[in-house]
Amino acid sequence: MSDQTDTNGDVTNVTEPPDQAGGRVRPAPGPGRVPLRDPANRVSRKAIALWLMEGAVWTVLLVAGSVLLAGWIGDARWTWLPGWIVDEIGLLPWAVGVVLAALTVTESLWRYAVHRWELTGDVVYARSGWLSRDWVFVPVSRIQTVDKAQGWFERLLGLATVEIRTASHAGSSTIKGLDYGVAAGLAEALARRAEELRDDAT
Amino acid sequence: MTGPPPLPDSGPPEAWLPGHGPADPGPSGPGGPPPVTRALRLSPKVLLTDPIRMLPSLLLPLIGVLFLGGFSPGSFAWAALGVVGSVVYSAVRWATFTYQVVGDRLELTRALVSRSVRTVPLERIRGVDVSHPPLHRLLGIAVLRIDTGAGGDEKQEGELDGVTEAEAERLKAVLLWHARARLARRAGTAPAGAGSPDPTETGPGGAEAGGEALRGFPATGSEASSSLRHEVGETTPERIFLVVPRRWLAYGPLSGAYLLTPFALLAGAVGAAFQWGGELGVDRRVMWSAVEWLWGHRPLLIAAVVLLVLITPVIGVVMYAVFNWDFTLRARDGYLIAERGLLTRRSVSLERRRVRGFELVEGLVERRTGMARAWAIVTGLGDSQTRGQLLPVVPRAVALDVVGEGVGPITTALRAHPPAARRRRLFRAVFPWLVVAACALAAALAWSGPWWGSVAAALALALLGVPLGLDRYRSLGHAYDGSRLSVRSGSLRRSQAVVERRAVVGWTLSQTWFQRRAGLLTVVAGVGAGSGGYAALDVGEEEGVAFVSEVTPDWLAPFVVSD
Repeated sequence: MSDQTDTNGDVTNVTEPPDQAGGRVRPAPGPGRVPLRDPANRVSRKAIALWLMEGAVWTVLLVAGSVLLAGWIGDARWTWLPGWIVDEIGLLPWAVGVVLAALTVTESLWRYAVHRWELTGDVVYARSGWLSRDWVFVPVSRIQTVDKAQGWFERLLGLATVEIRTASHAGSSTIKGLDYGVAAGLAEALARRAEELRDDAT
Repeated sequence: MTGPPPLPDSGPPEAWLPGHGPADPGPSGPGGPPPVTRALRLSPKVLLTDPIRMLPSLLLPLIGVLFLGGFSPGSFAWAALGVVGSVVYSAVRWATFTYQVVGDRLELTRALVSRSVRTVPLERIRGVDVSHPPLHRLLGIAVLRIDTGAGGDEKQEGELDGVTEAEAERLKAVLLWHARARLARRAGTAPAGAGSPDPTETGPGGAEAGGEALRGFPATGSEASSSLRHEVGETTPERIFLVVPRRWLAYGPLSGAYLLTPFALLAGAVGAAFQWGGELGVDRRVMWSAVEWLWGHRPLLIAAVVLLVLITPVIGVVMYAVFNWDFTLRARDGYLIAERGLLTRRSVSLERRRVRGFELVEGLVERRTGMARAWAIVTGLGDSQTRGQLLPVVPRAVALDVVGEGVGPITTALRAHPPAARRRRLFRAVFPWLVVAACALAAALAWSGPWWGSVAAALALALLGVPLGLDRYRSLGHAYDGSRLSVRSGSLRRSQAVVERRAVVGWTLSQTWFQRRAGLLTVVAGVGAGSGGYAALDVGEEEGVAFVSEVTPDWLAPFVVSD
C-alpha cells in the first residue's frame, strides 16, 4: 500500500490501468472477500486531516451536549436513575470525549485505507466507507453532471470533492478528499469525455 | 421569454378546430417550418366550473357572514357580493389566460396584473393526461395536464383546466405529435443509428424508436394486429391490453388500500363537527354532552364500532371501485394509456419510448389469493406512484401477461440468495424486538407493574419475526435474462422490479460490517427511472459481483479479480 498516492495533480494517467500486472491485486482489507480489486488511486493524505477535523467538530458538539445533560441530571437528581449514575454523572462528558476522540482517529485512518478511486475504460470506480463499505461504478457515458465542491475545511486544506451525478442517486458517486488539482483535472476530464460519449437511452 | 402577444380577438377554440383533430395535427411535416397556431383560450364553460369549485372554500365565510349579520338584507348583499366577486375573478382569469403553440414550444400566457409566460418546450413533453372531473364531464370539458418530467415540481408543468373535449383531443394529438416529429427529424439526420455522429442518439434503442415513430404515426384507429412486435418505443395501432372486469373490483380491498377510509371519514366528520359547530353557533358543550351521552349508552357505541368494522370492506370496495372503475390499459401511437375512474375519469399517457420496465407489487393478503398490482418504471415521470400505475389488483398471471406484453417480460426465474441471507433476515426481524423485550424486562424487574405487558408484547413480536424473516428471505431474488434484470424483496409488501439493461446508469455495491461478517453484499442498480435504484439485498459477495458483470460486462471487467 505504498504506491500511487497520486497527489501530484497529474491526471493524465488516470485512464491507464496502473500496474495491474504486478502484485497489486489484493483483496480489500478486512475479512470480506469481495472479488474486486482496489481502485488504483488513494485520496490525498490530507484527507485524514479533513476527517479528523470533521470528527473533532462532532466530538466538541457532543461533549458540550453531554456537559449540559450531566449538569441537568446532577441538578434534577431523578429518582428513577440508580444512585451511582447520578453520583458519578460528572464523568459522562469525559467518557463521551474519550470514546469519540478514539473513534475519530480510528475512522480517519480507516477511511484513508478504504477510500480509493479510479477512472479506467470510461468507468469511474470508487470505494468509500469504513465500517460499512461502498463500491460505486459509474460509466462515463451515463454521467449527467460533474461538480467539484469545496467545503470549509476542504478549502483550508486545499482539497476538493468531485460529485458525479447520473439520472439516479444509486448510480451517482462522490469522491471526497482529493487534492484540488487532482479533483479539477478529474472533473475536467470526466466532463469532456462525458460530452463525447453521451448516451440518451436513460 | 417574450412570445408574440396573444390575440385578444381569437374566436372560441371550436371555431378553429380542424374537422378531425388527431389526423391533422398541424401544417408542418417533420422537416417543415415550425408551426404557429393562434393563441387560444380555455372554454368559456370554466366560468361555470371555476366558481362552483371555489364554492366549498367560500361556503363557510358566506354562512358566517349570514349568521353574523343575523340574516339581514345587508348580510345577504355581502354574501351575494362574495359570489359575484368569485365569478368576476373567474371571468378575469379566463379572459387573461391564453395558450399557443409557437414553433417548438407551448406558451401559456397569463396577463392578469403582470404578464407571465410559461414556456413548455414540446420536446420536453413526456406525456399528456386528460382527466374529466364530474362537473367537467357534465359540461363536456376536460382538464389537460402536460407532463414534462420536471421531477415533481408542479410549477414546471402546464395545466389547462377547462378545454372542450374535442380541443383536448386535438391538443393532445398536436403536442404528442410534435414531440415525435422532433424525434423523427433527429432519426432522419442519423439514419444509421448506433455509431452515428449525432451525440445524443448513440444508443441503438433511441434511434430505432425515432424511426418507428415516423413510420408508424398515421396508423391511428386501424385494427389491432396480434403479430406486431411490442418493443418499447415502437408505435403500433391502437390495441387494448386489458379492460379489468368489474367483478375483479371486489379484489380491491386485498391490497389494504381504502380499508381505512371509513375510519378516516369518521375522524374527518368528528373533526368537522367540532370545527364547524363553533362557526355555526352550536355550543361546544352540546357536542361534549352528545359525546358523553354516547359514552353512557355503551351498547350503542359498541354496536356502532362493530358496524363500522363490518362495513369497512364494503366501503373499501366502493372507494376502490370509484377510483378504478373500468380500468383500461391500451397502447396507441407509441403510448401506453391507462384509463380509470367512475366519477373522475382519469387517463394517463406514458410514452412507451420512456418506459424502462415495471414493478409488480403484492401485499401479504394478495399473495395468498394470487393477486398483484403493477406500476410502470418510466424515466422522468413525476408522481409515478399515482401516474405510473399500469394495473390495479388483478390475478397475478394476468398481470404478468399484460405487463409482459405491454412493457416486456423477464424470461428467467429468480435466483435465490445464499443461506447467510436467511440468517440475516431472521436476525433483523427478531433481534430488535428481543432488545426491546430485554429493556422492558429490566424495567419490569426494577419497577414491575405494567412493564410485564410490554415484555410479553415485545416477545410476541419477536416470535412473529420468525415467519416474517423467513418469508422475507424467500422473497429475495435476482435475475438477468439477457435484456432485462429483475430484483425482488419484501414480505408484507413484496415488490419485484423488472428493468431494461440499458436503463442502468451505474451500480452501487454496499456492505455493512454485519454483511461483511456474513459474506454478503447489497447490489443496487442505479436506474434513471422510477425510484432511482433497485436493490438486490444480501447477495453473496462473488454472486453479486458476477451479477453486475453479467448485466454490464464491459463496465466491471477491468476491476474484477478472478481467482
